[in-house]
Amino acid sequence: MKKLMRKEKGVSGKLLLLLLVMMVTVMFIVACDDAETPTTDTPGTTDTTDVADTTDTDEPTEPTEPTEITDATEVTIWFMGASVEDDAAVIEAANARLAELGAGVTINPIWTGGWAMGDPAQVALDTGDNSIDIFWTGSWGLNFWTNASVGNFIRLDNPDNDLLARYGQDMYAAVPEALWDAFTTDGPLGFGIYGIPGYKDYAQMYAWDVNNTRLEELGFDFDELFDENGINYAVFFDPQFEAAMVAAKEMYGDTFFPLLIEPETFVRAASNADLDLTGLSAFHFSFDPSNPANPVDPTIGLNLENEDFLAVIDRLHHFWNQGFIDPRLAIPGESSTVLVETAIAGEYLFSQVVYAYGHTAAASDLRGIDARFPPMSRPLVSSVSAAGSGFAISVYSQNQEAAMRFMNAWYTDNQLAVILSEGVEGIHWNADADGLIVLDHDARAGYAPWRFGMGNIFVLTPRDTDGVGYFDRFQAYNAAGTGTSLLGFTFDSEPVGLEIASLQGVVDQFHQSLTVGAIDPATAVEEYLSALRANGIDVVLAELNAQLQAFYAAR
Amino acid sequence: MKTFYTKHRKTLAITLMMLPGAIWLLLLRYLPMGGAVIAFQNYRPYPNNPTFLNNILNSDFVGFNNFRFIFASDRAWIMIRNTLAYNAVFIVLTTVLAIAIAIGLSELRRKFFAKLYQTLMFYPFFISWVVAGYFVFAFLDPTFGLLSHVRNWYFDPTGWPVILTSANLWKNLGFNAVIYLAAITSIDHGLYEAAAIDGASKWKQVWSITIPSIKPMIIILFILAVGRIFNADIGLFWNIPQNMGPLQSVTEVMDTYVLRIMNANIPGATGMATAAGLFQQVVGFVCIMFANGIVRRLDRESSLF
Amino acid sequence: MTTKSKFRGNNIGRLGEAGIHILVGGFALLCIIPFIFIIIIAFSSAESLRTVGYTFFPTEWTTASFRAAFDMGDQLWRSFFNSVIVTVVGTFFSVLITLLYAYGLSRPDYPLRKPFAFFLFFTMVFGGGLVPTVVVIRNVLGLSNSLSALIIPALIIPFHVIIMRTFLKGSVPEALIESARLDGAGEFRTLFSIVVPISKPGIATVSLLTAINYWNDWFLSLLFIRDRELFPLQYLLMEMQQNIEFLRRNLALVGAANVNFADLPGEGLRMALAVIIVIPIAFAYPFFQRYIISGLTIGAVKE
Repeated sequence: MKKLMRKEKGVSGKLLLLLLVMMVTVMFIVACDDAETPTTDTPGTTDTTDVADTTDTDEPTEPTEPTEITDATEVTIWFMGASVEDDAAVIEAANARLAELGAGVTINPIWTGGWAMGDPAQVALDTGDNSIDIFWTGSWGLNFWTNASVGNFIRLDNPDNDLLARYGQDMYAAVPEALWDAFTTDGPLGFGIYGIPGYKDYAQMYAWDVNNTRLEELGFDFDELFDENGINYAVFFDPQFEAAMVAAKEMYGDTFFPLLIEPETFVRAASNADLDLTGLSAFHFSFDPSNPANPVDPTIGLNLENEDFLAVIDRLHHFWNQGFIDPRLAIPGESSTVLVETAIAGEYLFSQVVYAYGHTAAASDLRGIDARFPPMSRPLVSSVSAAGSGFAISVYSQNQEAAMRFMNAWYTDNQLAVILSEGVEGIHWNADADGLIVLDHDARAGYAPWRFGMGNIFVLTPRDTDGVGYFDRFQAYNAAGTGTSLLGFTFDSEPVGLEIASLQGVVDQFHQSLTVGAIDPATAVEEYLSALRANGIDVVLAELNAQLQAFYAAR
Repeated sequence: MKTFYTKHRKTLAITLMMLPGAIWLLLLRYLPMGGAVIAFQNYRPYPNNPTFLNNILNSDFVGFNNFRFIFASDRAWIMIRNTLAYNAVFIVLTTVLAIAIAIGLSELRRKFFAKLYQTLMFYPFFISWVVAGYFVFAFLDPTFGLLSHVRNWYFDPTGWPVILTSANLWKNLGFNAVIYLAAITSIDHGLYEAAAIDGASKWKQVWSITIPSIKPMIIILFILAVGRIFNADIGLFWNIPQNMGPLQSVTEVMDTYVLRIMNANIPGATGMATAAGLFQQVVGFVCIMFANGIVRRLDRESSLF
Repeated sequence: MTTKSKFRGNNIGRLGEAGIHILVGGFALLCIIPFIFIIIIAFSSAESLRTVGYTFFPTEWTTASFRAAFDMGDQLWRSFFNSVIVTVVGTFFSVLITLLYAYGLSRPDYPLRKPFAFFLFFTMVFGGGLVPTVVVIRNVLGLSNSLSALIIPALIIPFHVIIMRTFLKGSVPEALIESARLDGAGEFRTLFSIVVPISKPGIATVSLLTAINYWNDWFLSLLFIRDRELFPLQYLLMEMQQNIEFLRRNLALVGAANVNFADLPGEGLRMALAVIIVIPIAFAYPFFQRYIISGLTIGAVKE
């Protein structure tokens, strides 16, 4: 009897399970279908719409005439950087200005960034969050090329609904061609423009960051070591450079580390290469020193096989052994904190930066030292530097046209750009006699977006600390940058995704330790190379070169 | 109908109680299961009307392609070895020590101390791994750390199996002990009295009363832990070694391996992550069925199902 | 509780008890030391950290870190409030649903016990993965950018249901339920007026676990929360960590011009926030704990 009952239960359980499985399948299909077919808003890309709504009405008629738009569509934009706590006044002013411009949009910003345990913006894209229209993309947030090639961003010059021509002509004209090239790539809708470049200092120059206050204290002369206008790459091997650090160690004690290594910067400068295309930091690209637009050797090699690179890591290890480098810099989870805190405290003698225009004065002021930035390389423009910051419209956005209208207004209107970057006049800043912006630092503490990550900085009004004519001088700096032979080249990692996946572990094992000098190159380089080879670095290299050759051939 | 109602009133009432939970499970756990199909797809947004369903319907099936990355690296076996070995050590040590502590606490005459120890022991469980990472670093920091003079921790893998195991025990032992202690406190007290009258020694009482009484709890915790044999606590393995390269040979586990690849910016990471999750689930499922089978053979009543 | 220890049968010897004190007490001490260490670091000056490193005896004490934390003003309190709301509301509903589900599973005379157990258990092993789960929560259930998106997705933790079931099985004698039924009590009344009072240790344990889970969660925030006003404390701490990364990139790659360095969260501020996060739950714990080892009077009923 008991046995029988159990059997009965077993059968009913199985039946129940079967029923559940069927229910789940049906529910899943129904639920997903229902929930995601928007009833109130129609995606701009759908061509068969029978419901008339705001985004629809402004589609067919001449969109270049903004007065046609009556209802404002809210556009959500995900900015980079989390130093904004209170944006209420700014958004109100921005929306008022957008209404004045007749752009037919209001804006709703999100301010937060990505982190190592998962980038919320990337998760939003991967899970098809249709509440966000525009994403910031750049070298340390959403990867532009990966997301564009997967199809997470829409093509702006899609022949079917040429959004860029219809809504973004002014914006297109405002940004140099070279930057648009970096945002032109292969995606599911063909080769085209999938993002909007941030217009800032697109030429990238590596520089030393010298704490001249300490250097003088130690009795060394800055001008003897460095040439402020030359290229100071070789100083790294200068005995005087080492002597200064020996003296620093003697004077300031054991816990003072004179060489604050920023590997992201220094090793790139050393191998003179654009490394971010694969994200593996393992490649080396040779430029003709006199004309970077001409490749000396139109192929890419491994930086571990490059003599310049090896010389640098040898030297670094030598300095590490003498205690010039803070050991915490070798620990990935700590190095950022150490770098930022040490630099700001001025507790270093030599460091490296990617030169940003106008940064020297700000750095000196902030750190309370005399900081000097003698160049380490010439300013170069590459796809990586050009795509350092930009924006893209999500494929899941329901307001793609409104998003374009916002971007166009933002990139071309001085008032709107100033509101979003600097804040509201009378609250966050006031104008001085020259019409320059004088920031109220207290008021701006709650609203301090990253100015260089906010679209087109050249429509802004300079700050009093920048001086009159700042943006003209800035333009001149940009113009002095030389395009490398890599400019416009983007890498499609899809064919070698599996290799890159398994190489990532190898790179994570060696790269940081090697590039701060923590491990002995005499043994580590060999070990690193063979591990890279065992995991298919040669396949990636071959693919990289094949794509590069195809790029040269097409040019 | 009336007779059906009276006959099954009790069943209906209890079923009604189960409903909120059942509906939640159906919506939040069963409904998404259909989406696991992207583990077998080259999942891409469908450009014309990118809803989740459309994306799935229009993405190519690629078979087990997304699973290949798990074994692609030449160090995959190290990752697998670490995952399994750490979990095995954690399961055994946690179970044995937590029971020992729980019994020890229950035997203390001064309940004040039992309470005090128990309170203190539970504190690590409150602390998230992010915060735990801060003070582990405060001990091991190569320059300023409390133990920096002992050795250069971050370049020497030898000490790390012990560090990670201690960190895990430190955080979870108190919690497990409290669970066992709660189970011990609910043991019928009369059993001990009877045993005492029979003259059974304390050890004998532990072996013949305490352990058998908490056996269901031990077995359930054990089976559940076994089901997660291929999952590692990402907080422990990422925040404590701080992604330090030279330690990889003893700190790399399945979850850090997957996170690394998620950060690597390759198209198709969504499918890969889902595939990795599915793989962990299948391994866990097989292990649970195996463990449950063994338990069922030994003691039918204690098995999970 | 006292009646219980009186009848503990023959007690272990003095030596055994001393041994327990040394081993268990020693471990308990080890558990609390790092916590004290964090508090000390949070109160040590930056200067002390730089000169003598991390130590239990800093050369200089300061409350600067905590002042910096409280200078965050509204945001800190808002986040604190969010964390409290999510934890309290979430724990209440979570424990209620868990108890109801576990009660059914614990009843040997409930015929659907096995299927429902499997229904629950299956989700412990298999799931749809992150992307489909987020899609369902956001698009089907419509939860996004609200505190309910932090509560509802964590309502049931199967592990807690199983713990609860095991507690109920172990502590609630069949005879008690049977006698309640004979008295004419309905199932709900039996549960809430008979079972719940004698299952306090189990309920307290599960409540504590659930509360900790809600309090410490940041991943749901990462998935669903966009407005800073809705950030819970843990997420605020994570964001602070992120700010460091952001500043570093600015220093290194894009120029530090225009970054507000006053926001720089130092080591001390991180520790201070860590302390602020831990304290509420640390104080809540003894409250739960009272029930966990409070005396049980079930001995008389059990056959």
